[in-house]
Amino acid sequence: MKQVTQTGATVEEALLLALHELNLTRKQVDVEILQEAKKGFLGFGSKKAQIRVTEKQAQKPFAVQEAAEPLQEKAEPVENGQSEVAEPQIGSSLSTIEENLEIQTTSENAEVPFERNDYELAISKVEEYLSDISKQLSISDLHIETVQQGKVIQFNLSTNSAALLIGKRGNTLNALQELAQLVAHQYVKRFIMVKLDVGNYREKRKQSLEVLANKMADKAVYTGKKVELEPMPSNERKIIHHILADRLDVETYSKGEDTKRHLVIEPIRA
Amino acid sequence: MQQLIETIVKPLVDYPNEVKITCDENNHRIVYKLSVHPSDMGKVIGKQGRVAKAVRTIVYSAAGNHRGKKIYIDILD
Repeated sequence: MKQVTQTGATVEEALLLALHELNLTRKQVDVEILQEAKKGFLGFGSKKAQIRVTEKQAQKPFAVQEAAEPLQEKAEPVENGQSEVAEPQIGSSLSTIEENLEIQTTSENAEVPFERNDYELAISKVEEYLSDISKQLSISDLHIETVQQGKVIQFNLSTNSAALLIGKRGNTLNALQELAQLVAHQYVKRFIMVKLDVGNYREKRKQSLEVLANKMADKAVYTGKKVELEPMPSNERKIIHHILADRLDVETYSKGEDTKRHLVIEPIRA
Repeated sequence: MQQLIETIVKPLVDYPNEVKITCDENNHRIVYKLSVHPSDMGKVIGKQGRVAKAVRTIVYSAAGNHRGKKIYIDILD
């Protein structure tokens, strides 16, 4: 029974490579996905897909095999002869490669139970990072509450000098969030999202964005011209898009690149 | 202030021991010059300078209550 472990950028690619190597068709093999491909985040934490391709047992019964083999020989007598000669070498080198891969996979499989642990490590490191920074900002009464939901880790901070951590329109808070995300990613090499909140700021910001969005939409309709908002981070733009999605008299889209990306509200002329 | 920059930057890099900060002060402004291991440059600058911007944002906000001088951060290569 032939078996190959193959890696590739995607599962499909790995499968094609493996089939090529075994000289079999898709129907003649069983495919076991050892690891799905991961795209990662900004190129970090990307993983290649890994599959194990095994020749199907059903092919083994002699009658079937004998019936199949002469056909193959008739079809490609020369090629088949060559491959038979070459096969033992390929087979042995394959098996050594396979062994190496096997070791890798087992070690990778062994990592899975640690998933919880590296989350916990990341959380404690981020908490430490945040409290270190706050100490330097002369905030002594910082209290951190952490909620983890799947890939989202939410840190709720509370202090009396919240204004210092939030900054103008949440600038400081967003900067801290970005850095906290980077710190978390040092310990967890998969996609995770770090969210920071200080004293319910995000909720309050959402409410004031709702007011702003409707006011600006009214202005766009009233003047008949498009209104460009100031640059905002993606989460705030999303809130506005979401609020104005229900209004039929305006249309919203974002313009500009990266830090200059901002939202435009355009009136729809009836 | 130097310590603040260190606390922010050190956990982000691979070589925390090579994070060096020097301070250059005159009447109107204070310039903090940050130098890191060459392979960590990208980490403290980030895509489109995002990390550098975040670091500056935090330091500037802390500088608001700091002797009323304008503060700058330079990343040396």
